[in-house]
This record gives sequence, structure tokens and C-alpha cells, in this order.
Amino acid sequence: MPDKLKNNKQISNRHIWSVLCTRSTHDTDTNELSLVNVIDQILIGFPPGFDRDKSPLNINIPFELVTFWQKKQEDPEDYTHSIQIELIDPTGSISRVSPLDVKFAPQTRRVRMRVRIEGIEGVKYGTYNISVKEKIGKNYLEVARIPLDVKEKID
Amino acid sequence: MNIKTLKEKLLLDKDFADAYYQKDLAFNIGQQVFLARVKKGLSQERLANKINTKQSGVARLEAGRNLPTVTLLDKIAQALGLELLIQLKDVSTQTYLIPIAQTQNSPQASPYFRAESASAYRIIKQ
Repeated sequence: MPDKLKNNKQISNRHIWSVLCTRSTHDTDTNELSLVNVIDQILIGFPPGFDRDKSPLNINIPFELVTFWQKKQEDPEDYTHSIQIELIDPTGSISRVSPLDVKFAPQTRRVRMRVRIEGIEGVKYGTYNISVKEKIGKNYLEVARIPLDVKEKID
Repeated sequence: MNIKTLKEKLLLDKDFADAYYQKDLAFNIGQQVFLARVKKGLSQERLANKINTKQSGVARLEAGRNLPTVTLLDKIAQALGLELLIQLKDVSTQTYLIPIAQTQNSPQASPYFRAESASAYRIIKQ
């Protein structure tokens, strides 16, 4: 658990889990969700003659952050919880922020969000972190942090 | 006050919410009947004759004005050469897919990528 959470009494406990995978599939008949290839690193290989310094490198493979939320007893029937997904690069800079609404329709107690990230622009080697935050009051507080290593494949 | 806020306020009332979601179901059923009838090339009057009712009754059903009985739906399904399938679905967990951010394609020959798990793991057998 990230250090921020240990003494933070404001966390709502609506967040259940978050997982990074290459893709997920949702069976709409049975409502089952399957996660395919849970990942924590991306290896980049270069074809012969590729000029690595010529232009910024973009990772063009999509991956998914699947995040699971549960409504609290005291929440109203039709309730929307604000969350935020941040992509933090190896230097610690936040390279992308995506605010999202987790919508609990009436009779819905839990929601699974499949956030499809269509690659990374201007990639840097090292460890990226995907930070999952929820809105408590006016602030977004972190509830999960998932590492993703980006490495060069050495043949 | 906008529509969204008004709807949220109204749905706090249980009686209103019950009536609202029943209407939603009636509308969904009406839509399905309408689409199935049109696909079969039948007019409302012809379908009404097949199920021994009036054209106005079919029109009200398709408009979602009332909730039909299962018996009536079964008659409609048979009249359209279809099978009525009733499914009880758990909606306590919803799933949404949200795509975010597109990358620009690199003008160079593309490097290749492989996503994998580097984590060590143990299989625990009991």
C-alpha cells in the first residue's frame, strides 16, 4: 500500500482493485470479465538500421487498466464517483491525466472500468506508474499505484 | 437546474424511481417488437390480426406505453416466427470500456514491442 494511504483516514474504501493487462474481454450474456495477459513491463526491440535518436519514440500498443469499484451503503441509488487516472513517467512527471466518472446506476452495486490506454507518446526508459485516484472532497487521493517498466530488448 | 440534476433529484423518490424503470423496460420491449416486426416485413395491422388484437394495441405496445404480459409476448414471438427468450441478468455489477489517448505514428520504420510480466510467481498447490 502506498505510504500516503497508511495514515489517511479519508480514503472511501470504494476502490477494490486495479490491474494492468494487455486487454480484457466482457461477456455481456454472463457479465463475466476476463483479463488477458497481466503485465508489468514492455520490452522495445529495434530493427537493424533504426535511428533511435531521430524522433521521439511512441509505443503504439494498447493496454488496459481495469479498475473495480464498489458503492458504499450510504451512497444514493443513482451515484457518480469521480476518479482520476494518471500516467507518471520515470522522471516523476505526470504525462497524462484522465478524469473519469464511475457511474453507479440504480441497482448497481459495483462497477468495473476498463480504461484502454492507446499507447505512450515520447516514451522514456524506466518505470512508469499508473496512479489510480479517487475524489474525496475537493482533492484526488491515490488508492492504487501500478508500475510498468519500459526496457530495451537486448538481443 | 439542468435535466441531469433534475433526474437525479426525482429518482431519489422511490415511487418515482419504480415507475421510471418500469417505463424503461416497457420501452425496451416495445423497441424489440417494433424491430422484429419490421424485419419480418409485417404491418402493425397484420401482426395484430395474427395475435387476435387491434392495430392500436400493437401501436401502444411498440410505443412503450404499457408493459405486456409474458403470454402476449410469446404470442407475438410465435406470430413473427421467433422464440421468446427471457433472461434474468445480474446487474449489480456494471462494466464500462473507456478508450483514452491516441498516439501519433512514428514516421520511421516501427520498432516492435512486447508487453509481458517480469514478476516472479509461485504456483501454490494444495
